[in-house]
Amino acid sequence: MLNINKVKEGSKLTIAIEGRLDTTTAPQLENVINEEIEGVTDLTFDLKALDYISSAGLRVLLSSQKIMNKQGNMVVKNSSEEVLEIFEVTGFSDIFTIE
Amino acid sequence: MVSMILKMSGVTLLYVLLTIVVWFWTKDKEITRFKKLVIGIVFGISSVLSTHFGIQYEKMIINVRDIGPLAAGLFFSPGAGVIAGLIGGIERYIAGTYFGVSSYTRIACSISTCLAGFVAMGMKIKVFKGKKPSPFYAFFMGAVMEVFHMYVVFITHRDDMRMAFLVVSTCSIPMIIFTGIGLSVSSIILQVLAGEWHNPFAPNDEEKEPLSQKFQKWLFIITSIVILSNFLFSFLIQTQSAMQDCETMLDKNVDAVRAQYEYDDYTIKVDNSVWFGIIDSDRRIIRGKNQGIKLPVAEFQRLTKNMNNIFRGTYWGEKAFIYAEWYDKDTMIVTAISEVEVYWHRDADAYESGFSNILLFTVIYVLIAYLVNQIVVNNIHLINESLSKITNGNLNEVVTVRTSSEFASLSDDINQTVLTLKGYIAAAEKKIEQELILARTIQASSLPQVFSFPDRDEFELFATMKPAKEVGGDFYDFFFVDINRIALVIADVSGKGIPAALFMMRSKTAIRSFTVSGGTPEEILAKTNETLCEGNEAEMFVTVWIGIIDLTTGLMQCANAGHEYPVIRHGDGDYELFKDKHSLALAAMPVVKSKPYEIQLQPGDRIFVYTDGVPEAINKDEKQYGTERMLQTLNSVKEKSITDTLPEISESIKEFKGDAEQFDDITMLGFEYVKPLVWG
Repeated sequence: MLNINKVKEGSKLTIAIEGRLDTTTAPQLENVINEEIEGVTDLTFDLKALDYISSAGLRVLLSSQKIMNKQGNMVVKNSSEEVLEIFEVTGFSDIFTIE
Repeated sequence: MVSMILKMSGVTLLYVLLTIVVWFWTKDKEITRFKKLVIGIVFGISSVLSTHFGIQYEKMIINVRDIGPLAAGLFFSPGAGVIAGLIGGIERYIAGTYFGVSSYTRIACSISTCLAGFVAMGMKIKVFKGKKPSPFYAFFMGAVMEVFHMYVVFITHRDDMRMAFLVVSTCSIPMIIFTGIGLSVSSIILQVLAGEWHNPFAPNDEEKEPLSQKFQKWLFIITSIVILSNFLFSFLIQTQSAMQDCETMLDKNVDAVRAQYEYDDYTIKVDNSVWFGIIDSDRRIIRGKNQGIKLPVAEFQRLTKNMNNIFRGTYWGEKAFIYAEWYDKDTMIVTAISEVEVYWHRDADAYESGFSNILLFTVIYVLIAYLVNQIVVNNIHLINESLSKITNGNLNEVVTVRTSSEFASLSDDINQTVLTLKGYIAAAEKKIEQELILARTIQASSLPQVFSFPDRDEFELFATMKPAKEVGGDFYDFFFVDINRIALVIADVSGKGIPAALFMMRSKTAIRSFTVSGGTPEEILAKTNETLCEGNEAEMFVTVWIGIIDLTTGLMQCANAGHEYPVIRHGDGDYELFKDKHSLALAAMPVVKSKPYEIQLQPGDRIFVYTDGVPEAINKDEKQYGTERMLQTLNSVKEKSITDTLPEISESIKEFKGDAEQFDDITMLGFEYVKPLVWG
């Protein structure tokens, strides 16, 4: 189960993700990002209600990060300890801006 | 005339205003029973008022009473229409019978007003399906209702057609038009207020036009043409026959006048509708209309010019058909029938047959439109419903519309197509399945399966890989770098299935070839990263742990690119998580700086590496297996050999997850450093 809430204000996009971001649900997030990311300069992922992220989910965050490296900033915030640990273990904490 | 139009417009406008007020009152709210009753009564009262405030026109009183029940029924609630119709109609009958209000038409008026409520109910429910009629249909409804009204005037006064004709010819046009316009304008305004308005004259996109509407449009055009041509045809016939009757009358009466005059009858008798005259050469009327007075010169001259011929002219100033012949050389006999007299019957007939045609064809039109809806459109909707279920993936849906041969064969065709499609899908699935089984075999055989090395007893090694789908993105690997050193690799590609498997093969090949060609784990990971970053459009990445053990010394050089922490057990101690230094997973970013480290292994020490499929295995409550449970299980079987330990973990995970689906690939690699390698 995955719920995606997006709020777009001008070139600021905030995406709040709720549930499990895994192989089955990652494509949903990928679609949302592909639709919305054009012209965005500030992208924020609010992971407050994210229970779990798998490598497929990390892949979506990674590709967003790569796009945002070209057109602005990306921030990942409110990650739970479990999610934070996954970022640490996979080394993604080095490339994401985590708040 | 102008004053009549202004007054009728005013009354009609009042109706429109009432409709708008009621619309605002019921807007956005459910129309309760109470409200239906109120609407019925309000429109009923408006009908009563319009009876009593009728408008004087050519000595007749005209009104738009029927708008009340029609508006209540068509725009609000069918029940309210019936109530309004009964109130307006019954009151009209009472007022006509007991209070002498236009009693001549009381039956026609009260019947048509009562019926208007029921007609509105039937149309609203069956034809408009509870929606508001469009302005066009609203006009049509109002106009046809008044046509019915007028027709009833005729049939209730069969014995007095002249009066009925007079009433109808005066009242029908304004009443038909104003009732139609009142409903039509109401419909337009309500549509605008409800935001449903669209310009009916805007060019129609054929794709958006419903089939029923298209059908109705053509049906309407054809019906109109039939009514009009039928009307014209009978009008022509009637004209002909009126002319013949007129000629016969004139002939017959001129003979009668001559005969009676010859007998010197002072009182000459002719038929009721005929004028006659016996005129001398001095234009003086000897007998007949205006006896003793001289006929105007112009009329007299025309008579003398058209002797023995029936002609159209004026007789005593009135338009008439005239026949004159000589009685003797100084005296002429004239008979004439006024045009009104000749044609009134034809006109009454034209009105009556016109009205009855309109009513008949309206009934046919509504019935056909309704039947087309029932037989064709509803069935098409049923088929579409089934089709949308099918396109949403329910291939077991069967279309069962069999009400006509066309629909039965369409249903059969669709069912057959779906069946064929199912066959193809099954065949394709089977093919994919076979290919996946093949892929699985290839992938499994690409991982080393032999865990014992001849003449090598310095270590014990075991590994398993269990993909979640047919093929996976995890892999393990082990191989000799040179005669002294063995490399252990475990890795996890993001995602699962074929894409992950392909990326896994690339990763595995790259790591092995860079390892064998020499270099530290740091260099191996850096080069592998570089290779994998090339042409990585799918933006996949792979987490890798690599350890290269020098079997002579037990020194293990390691590097971890975003992979799970390894588990280490020193001697007889517990298995423990070794929180090593991490760098980013490979292929994520072009430049990666890994953080190599070394572990000194003593004989009996063990290494256990795994992918996230182990700790992140979930049960049906979505609880994770977790590293804690993994360590507990490992420690509970620490007396067993590493070869026997791995199946214990698999078993423990299987037990934990119960019926839940295996979610991620599960891969493990265990290694025990048994004793140092000694050459010689």
